[in-house]
Amino acid sequence: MDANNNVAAFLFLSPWLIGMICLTLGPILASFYLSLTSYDMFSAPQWIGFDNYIKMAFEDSRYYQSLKVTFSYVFLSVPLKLAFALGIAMLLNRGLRGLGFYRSVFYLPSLLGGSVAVAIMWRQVFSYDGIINQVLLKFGIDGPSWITSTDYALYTLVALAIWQFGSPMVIFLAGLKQIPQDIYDAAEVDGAGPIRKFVSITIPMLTPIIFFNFVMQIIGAFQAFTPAYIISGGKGGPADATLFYTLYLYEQAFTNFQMGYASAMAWVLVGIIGTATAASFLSARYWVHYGDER
Amino acid sequence: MSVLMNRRAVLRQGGALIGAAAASSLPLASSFAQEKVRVRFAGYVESQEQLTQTLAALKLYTQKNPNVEIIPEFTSFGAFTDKIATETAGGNSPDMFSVNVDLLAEYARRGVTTPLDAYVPNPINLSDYLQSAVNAAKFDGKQYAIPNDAIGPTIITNASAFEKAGIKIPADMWTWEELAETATALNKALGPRFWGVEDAGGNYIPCDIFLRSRGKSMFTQDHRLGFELEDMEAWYAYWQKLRETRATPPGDVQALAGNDDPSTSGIVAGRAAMNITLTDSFAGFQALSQDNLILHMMPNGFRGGEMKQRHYCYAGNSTTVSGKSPNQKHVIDIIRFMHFDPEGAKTYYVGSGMIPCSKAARDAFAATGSEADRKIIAYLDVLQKEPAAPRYPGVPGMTGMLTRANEGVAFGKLTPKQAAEQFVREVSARLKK
Amino acid sequence: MTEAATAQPNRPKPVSWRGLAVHACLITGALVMIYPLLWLASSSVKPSNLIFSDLSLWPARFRLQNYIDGWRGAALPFSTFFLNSFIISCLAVVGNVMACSMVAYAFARLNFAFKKTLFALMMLTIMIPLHATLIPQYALFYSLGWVNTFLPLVVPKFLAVDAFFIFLMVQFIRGIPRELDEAATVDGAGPIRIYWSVILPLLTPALVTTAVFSFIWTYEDFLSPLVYLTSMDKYTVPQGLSLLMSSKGASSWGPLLAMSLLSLVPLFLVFFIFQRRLIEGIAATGLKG
Repeated sequence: MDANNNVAAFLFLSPWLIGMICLTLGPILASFYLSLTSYDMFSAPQWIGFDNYIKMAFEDSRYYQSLKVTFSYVFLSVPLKLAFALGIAMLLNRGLRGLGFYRSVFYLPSLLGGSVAVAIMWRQVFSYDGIINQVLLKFGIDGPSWITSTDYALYTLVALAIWQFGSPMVIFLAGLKQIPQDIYDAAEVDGAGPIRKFVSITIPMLTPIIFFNFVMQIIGAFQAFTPAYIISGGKGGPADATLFYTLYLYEQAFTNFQMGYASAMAWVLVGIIGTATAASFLSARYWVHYGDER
Repeated sequence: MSVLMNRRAVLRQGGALIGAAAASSLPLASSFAQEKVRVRFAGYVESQEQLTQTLAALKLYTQKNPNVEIIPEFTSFGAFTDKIATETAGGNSPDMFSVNVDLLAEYARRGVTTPLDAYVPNPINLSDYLQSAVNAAKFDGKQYAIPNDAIGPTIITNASAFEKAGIKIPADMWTWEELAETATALNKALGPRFWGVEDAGGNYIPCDIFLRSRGKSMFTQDHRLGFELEDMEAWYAYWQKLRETRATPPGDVQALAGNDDPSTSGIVAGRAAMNITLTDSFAGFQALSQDNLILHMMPNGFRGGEMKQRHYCYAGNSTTVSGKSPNQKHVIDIIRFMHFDPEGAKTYYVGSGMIPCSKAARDAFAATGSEADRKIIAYLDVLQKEPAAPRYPGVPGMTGMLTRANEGVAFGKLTPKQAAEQFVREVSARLKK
Repeated sequence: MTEAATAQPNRPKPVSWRGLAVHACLITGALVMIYPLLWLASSSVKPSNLIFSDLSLWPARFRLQNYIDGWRGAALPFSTFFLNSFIISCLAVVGNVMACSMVAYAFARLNFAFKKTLFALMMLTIMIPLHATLIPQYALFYSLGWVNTFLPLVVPKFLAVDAFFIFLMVQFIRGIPRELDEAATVDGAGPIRIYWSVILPLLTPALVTTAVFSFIWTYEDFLSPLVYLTSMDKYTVPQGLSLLMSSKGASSWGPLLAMSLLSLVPLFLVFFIFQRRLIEGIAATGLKG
């Protein structure tokens, strides 16, 4: 680590450092300060120390419901979405006709993001009058309204997350593209079969990207907001069955005007996500192989 | 303070110039034309017709008053409340904006909006306005907003479904018991995937009217709860019984409907005959349905009790003025123009789908308005014959609290008593501050 | 499946039963995937009173007027919103690709003081929920005089505020063998030349991915344009759509669904065109040049 390298490094870092100091850091520190206040957004914040955190821990049963919903969602949606994304990316990385078309079609649902159209379309599938129940009705079964039942609502949102697996899929595809062909050629010369090549070349070479997708999906899933917002109209219903953490945070901030409490919730979430991310980074040294390490 | 403001203004202009340089699409004119008074008017879209007419009225005003530039800032209702809150908290609230009754109380209480009593009755003369609407735009005895459109509670009723079931549409003066029986009869006739009435257990206005039938009300004029725990328990128990007798759909089917949105309602999907809502949704419901829908009154009492008109009209949206606006006089003049200038009011109301709050304008509408307008006016006239006490502002997020408790009962997680306790606990916490 | 990665791209195999089976699976999968979109397309040409009451995929009556009404809008035509969205999204692409690749290069390849701390700080910025920093953020941009300009939406991208893309590129750069840098160093290249002539060309898949996602996500963003762009002539497409969201009055559902579908077309085109770049992979370089 010579001085010269330091200069070059900070030159490359300069856009981010300027952005961090001028745009990002201030609001982040401000939100931490607000978490120690009672703040209704219109009057000046009142310092109350850790009261918001204490209230969250001991007096708010809906807060625990939101934790439960969010953790269930993270544990279900992240592995399933990644498995789909990786599987389809593998399938689409081969030399098939019409590949561009398939890739685009599989990405299509992800283009919808959190638009209004998604809410209506998802109701069209999982509501009481939706296509699934119409099919069930042909067999004489009167199905429930999946999307608004306390038993199934969360799973329909997990299904929505899986349906929108396009982003990690594209990142996997980009990762597969980066694996040099000559490694496979060399392995072939050594007599390696397809399974061998998959296990000892594709997967290890892809681990940095798998790691990236894993970490980002976890962070994203903990912050999941849009799907529940558009489908339950921002209420986390029915009966709080889809009360995601950030949805509850949003309700506290913008419906109940408790911005101090919402900020405290945000910082606890940062703690949770930070722990999960740190654990991922610690585990990475055992399974992620970087090209620059050899 | 004024130094700070000046510095901010300077910064703002500088920023606008940089912005203009950076993104060529920025209208340069608006950055330089500083002679004009700029008034920001924020509102939410209730319907395309309302948006079109509001913009036309504002344009007309600026044509007549070239020294004023009005910047309309409209968006959907859900997005609007977040936007107003963010702008206000950030110190940049629009000069004038739309509010509904519950938001009004919240904003008024915190000094976000300013009382307008100094301008009533001159130049804003509300004497021939629906008094219940005028009252609903008051907080703490002060007039915080000017009501724009008159609405009232109603049951949107699918007349075609009643016909198909061979059931006669009940009279206006009917009881909550009759509502339950009629709904069950509809399920028997058109069953099993058809229910008579959509569950309104999580809906504020019908709950208030139910409470009024018991001689209580949701809120009092001094912003306190106007009922006892057992009244609310009776409300949740009423809907629980309707669920048991299949008069109203089970929890999961009902939970599909949200936010008074016709597109999610059972009446549009063809699995319910009655939906308890407000008159301004009528056109929206009819537009999505192929059946013949009519406006019907909600129950007015209990069997054996006194039958009386328990409903009230109020304003669907009102215009309020930011407490920080430096252009208050201009804002008032714009409101005056939209409400009392013959040309302005005509542009603002005709074809907007809004029913004017003023009696004179309503009478003119009754002769010339669209068919839907006339149906609503006729219905509101019935409500006006013997007006009930007005609606008082509640607290934001109240519909959420009411719905959550009702869903707790519907999904078997709470008894009606527990639901009532939960609701009272949550509302009280909001009223305290 | 297992030989997925071994196949040469761009060289279709001769038609075989196995190939047909794969196609059949993919087509079935694709149909399930896009059923909701087919419903959207069908509903966008239905008259309002059939959208939610008649659930069949084939419209009983066609109403193309939805597209005309929607495009015209009650306030402004959609051309305005599309133009604004394009300007903002294109600037976001340029900003993210340039800034994030520079920062990622520093984190992945260079040594400097407080490297781990700064990396952790960068990761921290994506962990905070948007709504918690919205108001301080708004107050900051307002005091800079940036409200109602495109600056709050564009400038942060040039300052690498989006840590997602930095982290993405760090992972890709770390996948590039270090021997290449070392060889260039032996030839006398400094960090800037290595970044420009060794790393960037090899980073193409990640750059393309960043470009596509930057475009799509900026175009779709709702909350930031909502608070920062106040006057309607600066609205983006999602804000334009929100002007059509009204439950009262004669329905605007037809126009809303029509414009929702239309708003996807540019995204689809961007994705379709760029995904070819993705396939060309390492051979392609043009993006930065």
